[in-house]
Amino acid sequence: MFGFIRPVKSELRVREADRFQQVYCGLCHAIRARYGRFYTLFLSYDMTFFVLVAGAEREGTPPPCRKRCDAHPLLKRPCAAPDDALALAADVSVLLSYHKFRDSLADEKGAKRLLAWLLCGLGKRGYQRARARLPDADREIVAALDDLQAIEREKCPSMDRAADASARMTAAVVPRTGDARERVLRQMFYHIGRWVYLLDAAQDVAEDLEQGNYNPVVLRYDLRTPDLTEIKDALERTLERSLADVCMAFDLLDAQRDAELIRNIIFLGMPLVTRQVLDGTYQTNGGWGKHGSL
Amino acid sequence: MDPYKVLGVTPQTSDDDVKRAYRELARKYHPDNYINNPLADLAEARMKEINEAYDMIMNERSGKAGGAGGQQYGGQQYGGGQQHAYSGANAALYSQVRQAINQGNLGLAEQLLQRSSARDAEWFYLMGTVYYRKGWYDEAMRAYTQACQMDPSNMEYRTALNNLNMSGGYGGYRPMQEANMCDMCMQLAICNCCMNMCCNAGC
Repeated sequence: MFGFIRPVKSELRVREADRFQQVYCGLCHAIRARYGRFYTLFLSYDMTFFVLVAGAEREGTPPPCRKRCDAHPLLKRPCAAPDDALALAADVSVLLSYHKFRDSLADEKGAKRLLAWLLCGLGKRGYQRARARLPDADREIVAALDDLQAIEREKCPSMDRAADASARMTAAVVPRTGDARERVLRQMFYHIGRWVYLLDAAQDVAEDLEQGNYNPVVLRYDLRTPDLTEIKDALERTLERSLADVCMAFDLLDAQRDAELIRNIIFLGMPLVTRQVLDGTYQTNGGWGKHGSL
Repeated sequence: MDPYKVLGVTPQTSDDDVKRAYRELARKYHPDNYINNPLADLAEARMKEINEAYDMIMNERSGKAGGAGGQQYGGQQYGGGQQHAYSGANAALYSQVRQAINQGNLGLAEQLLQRSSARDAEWFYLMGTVYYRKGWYDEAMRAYTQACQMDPSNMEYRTALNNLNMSGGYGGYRPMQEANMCDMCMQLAICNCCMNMCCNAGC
């Protein structure tokens, strides 16, 4: 995923901001413990959000533990205590990261393709372990990714059809519990996936136009220039519909733990990022110098 | 069921605050927010629970055993409304499609539509509804727009398009201002709900 899913820090309580950082660090440790250092390089805010939602039905937050890590070798930092939400998110991170490499290997050319090939090779063993833990999710992701690649090859002009394949991929990571909660989470993650995919496409319009890559937003609106001004409203409306569905699904979830933090992300953070991407003011933060700092 | 827990209040909460909490929840889970949403049944169940909890608390406090506990939201019945008036060449097919949509069988509805060679306003409207239910909002918008252009006088199509365009705006989801709920919005929502009852019942 792409790092679009993050809280609006100025609206967080201090303890919520701390908690977010602790979950981010906790996830990193969970990935390292289960899959080694390699996959911790692809840690994201998106997956931190996934941990929060996956663990939201729990009551009460266990006290954080303190751990050292590669990014902070001198001082121990507080981390969320290991639990099954973190373990699940670690498995899911590895699956999604690996399939992202695979997707790049199919799409990219030149140096990027070589890098993707290298990452696929390095990540293979971890992926096999994650697949053994989540075989159903993996099967669904593979099928959706195949669909997505076919859609890209045929240069499908339907934004929804392309976004659907990507959204099914994110919906696939929801644990199969067979109850109402699974339905709610699937709906929630389907529309998160749709939103991320379309927003990412909008963000990449300039680059894809230049390089002649497949971009559903370009094809749908028949764009000749990277200027989004004219389609901004229409695009915002369709993205907002997905966000509304995310919120309505979340309202049915009965979140106990971290409810305020999750609300901040979906009610404030995601609409804010939407507007920023559409008017061109979006800046990625995080990345190398800024582990887990918002 | 603990009615206080359902409404998120305590036995010490004043009547007014209980009412406020109830209204807030009723607004959130109102069936109108969940039109064409695959989770509509869950929202409806939640709404019922909230209504029951509110009744229990109010009855308990007024010392009555049963009876009405004040005005309630969300009890409307959607069925039985106006029948759609389509009577063209494909009437049989379209009623089959509507049935499939109402039963939640979107795959069948889409298949039936794709197989038909007709591309009239009703076809685009039904296709739009299939897309809407699937969460394919851009395709839904295009299909509804097409239906409205082909038959500008049809209220059902018009309402569907308005619904699609507006519910992102205030149907339970107000991005930056969710805390300050005003009565105006509530009235709008209720107005909207009445319109939906009349116009959306067919499908």
